[in-house]
Amino acid sequence: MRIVVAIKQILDPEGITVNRRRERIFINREERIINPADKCALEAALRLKDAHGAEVIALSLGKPAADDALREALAMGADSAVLISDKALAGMDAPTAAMVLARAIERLAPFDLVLAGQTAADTGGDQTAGRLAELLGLPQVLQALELSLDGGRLQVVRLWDGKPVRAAVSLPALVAVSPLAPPARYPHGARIMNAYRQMQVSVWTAQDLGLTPEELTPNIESRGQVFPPERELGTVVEGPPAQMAGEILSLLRMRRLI
Amino acid sequence: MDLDFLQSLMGGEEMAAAETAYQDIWVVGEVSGEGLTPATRALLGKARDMANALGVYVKGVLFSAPESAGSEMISYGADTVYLLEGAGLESFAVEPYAEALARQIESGRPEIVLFNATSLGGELAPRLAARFRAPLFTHCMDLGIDEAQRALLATVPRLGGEYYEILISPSLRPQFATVEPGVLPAPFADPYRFGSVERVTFDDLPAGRVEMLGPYAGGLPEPPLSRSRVIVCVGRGVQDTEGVELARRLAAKLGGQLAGTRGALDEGWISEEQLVGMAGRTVRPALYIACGVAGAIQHMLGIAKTECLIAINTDPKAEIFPYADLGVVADAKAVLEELNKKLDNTPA
Ligand SMILES: Cc1cc2nc3c(=O)[nH]c(=O)nc-3n(C[C@H](O)[C@H](O)[C@H](O)COP(=O)(O)OP(=O)(O)OC[C@H]3O[C@@H](n4cnc5c(N)ncnc54)[C@H](O)[C@@H]3O)c2cc1C
Repeated sequence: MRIVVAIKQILDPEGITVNRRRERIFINREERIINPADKCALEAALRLKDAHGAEVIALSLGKPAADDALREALAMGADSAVLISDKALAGMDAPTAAMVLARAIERLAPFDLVLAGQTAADTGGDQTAGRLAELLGLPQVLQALELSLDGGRLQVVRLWDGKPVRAAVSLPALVAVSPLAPPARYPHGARIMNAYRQMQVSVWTAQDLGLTPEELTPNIESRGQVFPPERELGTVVEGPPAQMAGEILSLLRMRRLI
Repeated sequence: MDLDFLQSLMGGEEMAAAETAYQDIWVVGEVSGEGLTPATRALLGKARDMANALGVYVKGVLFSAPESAGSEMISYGADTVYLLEGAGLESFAVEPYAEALARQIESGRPEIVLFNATSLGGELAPRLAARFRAPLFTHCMDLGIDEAQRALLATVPRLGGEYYEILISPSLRPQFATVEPGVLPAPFADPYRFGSVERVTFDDLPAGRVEMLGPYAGGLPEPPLSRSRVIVCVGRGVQDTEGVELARRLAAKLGGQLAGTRGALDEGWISEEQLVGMAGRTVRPALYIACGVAGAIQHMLGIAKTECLIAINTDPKAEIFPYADLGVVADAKAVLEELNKKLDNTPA
């Protein structure tokens, strides 16, 4: 079985603070990580490899620095890695990114399964997986928590409007893995060394994928940022327990938390 | 004579004409139980406002829905409703659903297509956007119209909602968006609004390759605390294991997880993995209910990014209160008991 896993390198959101009052975004610690949902997708691929044997190919689209994300994937257990990186791809919008990834995945054919993370923790984007499925003509299962292979069919436990449900799909297919899926393993020390010393990350350019400048023209613009109001703090109430429980529940309802 | 210049001028006009060929705002709705979901109603209200600004119609789309749901869409602002039906659309299957909607969009040429950011919207919107090489804005917190460019203005969350960005795609049509349920105001229904409900039947949709097999009853691995949306935290002030149990039950009812302070860890009420703070996990839940927690700085460091913090503590001067959205001066166990009771009595 050949599995392609698409991973994106992002700035760790934990290193970023947003000051709503001053309407500014501060990067305190510029650390690059694999997008959490994508890392869960990688873990899902490696679990299938552990159970059934598989060739896992990690694919990333990004700056040359994304090489690190792919080395990490190799250290975790991926068999090979491809980085699509080209100055012509800077400033790409979401539709273009999906199109470029689809082009690269086609070049990696034949494959049985394409895995991707459901959502991006930085941009909040939630469309690459579904776009890939459409562009590649594959059936899709989104928001996956657990994958298992059963006689050539993939069994998936997925979330549907917050509740776990079962789905099954024939291969080849695309599965988007939820950031709530089991977290990724830690790589072995020896594999980390190998990933840097012996394993290769192939680099593909826009030209390698036959992409034209027109195809890469962004069509989405930003009209600026909006900052939600600062939280209002410090309301303290006192009273009998039943009434206090009522206060709490009405706040939860108002904030749509229940 | 500069023919190129003239041609480019005419080409430009042609393009403008082609763009206006896309018009109307479509809402892909959802039905549950008795009628439209509240999010669908709110989306129709928003679509109506935007359609008024653009001077176009609102059209609703429902899959295998009763006529009454179509009429309800009209009462909330739709002018026309398409009830899509046929073999393959009886229950959700992404491929036939996407194909039917794509054909409908091809013939109707809407300029904007809106979905709820539910599982249904999340499955369909990216596939359709890819098919039409169109922009898609996901999990929008608000929508508006740039009247000069006749384009959708989408407010999307960044960094998990720490701030928002306003995006626009001036030239591509149709424009797709999914809107986070619960963020738009509930509109009023006008039962006397006039509109038409049309049944559209498809008889040659592709079979879906994904089988939906119903609810999953097995156990699931708990997500790490750092990604939990709801956390109920116990401190030494919950008194005993009975208090901890009440907190655990509340967490389960709210679809969240139990966590604790160093005080609770020292009492043996929680595990090392459940410790929140400087020496434990950093969390960023939407809701954090701190029960009998003092609010020591080492603890508060781990919950700085909480969206809504509720604290229950008997000491009106407790350190945690100034950080809390709502502070409750009361016995933690007693309030936990009441919360569990009240949640048992309200149907989910
Ligand atoms: C280097 C260092 C690192 C640390 N790291 C962490 C950390 O990561 N996480 C952490 O949590 N702590 C940490 N601590 C410990 C921290 O300083 C506090 O001691 C600890 O958080 C206190 O836990 P507590 O609030 O449960 O207990 P207490 O301080 O004992 O507070 C109990 C609270 O419950 C209230 N109370 C009493 N009875 C009731 C009742 N019936 N109903 C409601 N409320 C009641 C009291 O008014 C009080 O406010 C660290 C300390 C150090 C020095």
